[in-house]
Amino acid sequence: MRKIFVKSVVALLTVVFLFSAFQSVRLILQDARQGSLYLAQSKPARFHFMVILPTVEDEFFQQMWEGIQSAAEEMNVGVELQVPRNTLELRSGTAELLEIARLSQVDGIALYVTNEEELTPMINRTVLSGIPIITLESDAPMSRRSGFIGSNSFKLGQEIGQLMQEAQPNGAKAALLKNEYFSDRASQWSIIQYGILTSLSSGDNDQIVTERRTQIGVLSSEEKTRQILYLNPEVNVIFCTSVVDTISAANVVAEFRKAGDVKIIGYGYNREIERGLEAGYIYGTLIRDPKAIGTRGMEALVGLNTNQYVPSFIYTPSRVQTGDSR
Amino acid sequence: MKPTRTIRNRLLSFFILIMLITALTSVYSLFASLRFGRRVEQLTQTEVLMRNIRSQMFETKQALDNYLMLQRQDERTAVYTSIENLNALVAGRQTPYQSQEQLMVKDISYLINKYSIQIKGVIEAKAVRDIVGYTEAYKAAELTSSYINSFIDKVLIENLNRRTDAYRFLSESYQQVQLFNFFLVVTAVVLTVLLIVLFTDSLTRPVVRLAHLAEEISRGNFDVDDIQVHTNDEIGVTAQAFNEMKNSIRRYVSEMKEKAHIEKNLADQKVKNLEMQHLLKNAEMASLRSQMNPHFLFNSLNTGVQLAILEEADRTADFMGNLASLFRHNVRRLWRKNTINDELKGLRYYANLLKVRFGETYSIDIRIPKELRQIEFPPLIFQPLVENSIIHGFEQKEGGGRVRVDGYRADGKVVFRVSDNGMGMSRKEILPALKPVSFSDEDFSSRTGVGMRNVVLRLRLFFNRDDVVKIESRKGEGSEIRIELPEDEVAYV
Repeated sequence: MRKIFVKSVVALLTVVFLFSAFQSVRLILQDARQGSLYLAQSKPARFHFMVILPTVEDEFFQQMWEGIQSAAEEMNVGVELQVPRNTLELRSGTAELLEIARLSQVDGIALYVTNEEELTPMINRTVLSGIPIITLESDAPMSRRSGFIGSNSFKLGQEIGQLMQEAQPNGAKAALLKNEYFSDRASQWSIIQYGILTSLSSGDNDQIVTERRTQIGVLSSEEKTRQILYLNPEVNVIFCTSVVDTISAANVVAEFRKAGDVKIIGYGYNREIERGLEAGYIYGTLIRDPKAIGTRGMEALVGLNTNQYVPSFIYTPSRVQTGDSR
Repeated sequence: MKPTRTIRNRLLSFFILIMLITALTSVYSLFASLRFGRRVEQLTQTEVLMRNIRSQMFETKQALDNYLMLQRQDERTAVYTSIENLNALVAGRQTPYQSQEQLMVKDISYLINKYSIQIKGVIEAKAVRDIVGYTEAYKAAELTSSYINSFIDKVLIENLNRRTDAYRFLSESYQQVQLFNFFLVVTAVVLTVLLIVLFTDSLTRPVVRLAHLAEEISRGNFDVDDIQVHTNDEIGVTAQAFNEMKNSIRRYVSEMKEKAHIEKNLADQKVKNLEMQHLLKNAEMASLRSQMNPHFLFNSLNTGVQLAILEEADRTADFMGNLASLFRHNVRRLWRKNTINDELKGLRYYANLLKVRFGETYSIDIRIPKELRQIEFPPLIFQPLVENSIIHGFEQKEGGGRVRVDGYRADGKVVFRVSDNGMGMSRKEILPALKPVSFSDEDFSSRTGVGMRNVVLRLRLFFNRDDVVKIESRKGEGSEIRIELPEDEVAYV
């Protein structure tokens, strides 16, 4: 009996000892594996691409960045995300980053064009120095950029126009909240506007009443929405061009108790917008696929670096969602 | 027998095991702390690099400004040295990696190359006094410097984020490692102590048992159990040898005891033989002594017989003749072999005397088959027994008595029986007759007659059996004395 007890104790202690030793070794191995992620001991990459986005606080760009990262990891590409330091430096910051990318001799640049006119010469200079540039969602069609990946702006405009008419069948008096992402003279915005107008021209009472420019962030869009409601009381439909703008505008309209009269047409999709659609604060929204844009962008840059054919325009699908269509 | 696991080997294995356990825990603790230290060092590598770059850029800028002001050769050399140092800091950093931080360090390395070229451009333009050229180049270098600084900031922020995550991860990981390390050390200590206790116990227990057993044996107790040692070392071999030694000694002692017992029996037998010889000699002496008077008595009796014949007294002559024959028969040499036949002859003389004396009052009936008559038998047995029956059995009985002497075989035995229909004896009277006494007893020696006890003792000695005589008697109904001899022990003459 005593022998069995002693043997059991020795066996138990040995098991605890071996278990502790095993766990310790496991932790060391785990530390070696995970620690490398934190210790910048990453794997060498095939290419070094710089991605310049106006922000990563907006969900649209967050998802785009996720798409870029997953594609980069899959293709073993090093991707450096650069964002201008603040919204005031958006244009100059983007140009500076383009210049740094050129000097750093990166293997490719993926860029969201915030100011087509100012960035076009920079794009041209960079491309001529041998660095391919792909524009994401916002294009500089007159530049020498290697390709564009994003939504079809004219089609987007048409869908927005149709949505406005559906929202206000008796005549849509539209206000456009143009976010800072859209450059004043950007071709993309002009094409969207053209698309909207093409759709609206089919109805006699439909028209774009006003267009206001918002900056990145919540405050700017709230302020501009208030201005519209005060200064343009005839407006019965507001089209927003970012997720943040859409939610802010819907909040202000609800605050003015005009949710029934003034319809909000959003841009993008998240949980808040989903709730707005369900509650009726938002009439409808345009849903693009930012993740696909990011992924395709990386594929295009790898294609350009490996001498593959890359089309100048790669359109990613977009769709309209209303509260009724759910 | 040679031990397969010697104590030396066991001790060596045990110490190596203990050392391994201790070494494992110590090495692991050392390894874990070294690893943690190296991790912390790795985390600060980028930060150190960025600081060095910034400091070297500041030096380069100062050297350049000094040169531009003084335009001395040593300042120019200082600028070039500084630029070389700057480039050396980022040498080998132009390989793309997957991490943001390393990619930005790569950017910085390219920007530093560009910055170096721009600085050299400034110096060259200054050397040829190209004011516009060096101003432009200086501005470009300043811009690149601002880019570098801006990226250094970004790298430091990225590094800070990474370090925060890494510290969190490392501290969690280190805490777990410490926990398991604690378990490892505690279990190692307990296990080591337990193993030491067990090992010491396993080593000393058989020795202690061996010592106890040796102590027990030294007291003369060989009946202790064998010591059980299952180890195959020197102690096991010693224990086995000890057991064999103990068992051998026990066997020898037992053999010696048996021998002593046999010798004692032999001695007893010798004493008995001596007693027998002594008895015979005594008897012989008594016989020789008595031969003197009997000769005179025989002669006198014979004279009496002749006188009775002359006087024509036939019955007297017959009586005296029988008496003379009986005396002659009884005093014959005792060492001569005696048989049942001889005994019966004497008994008949005695019977004739009784017949003359008492007439038909007592009858003696002798019925012993012929085949039993040549059996060797001690002398003077039947006559005392018959005499005993007549004297004691019929003493107080009125009328006549009958004594019967017969012999037969039954159950592998030869039985001679003397029975009477006299007064019988009580158990109290029988017991003294069968009491085992020897001739050397004073009680016995003091007696003069040849009584019942004499007969019993002689029969026992002659046949060397204690159960040779059996007496059965009932008060008032008679007695029966049986002499029972095993068939295979009787001798025929």
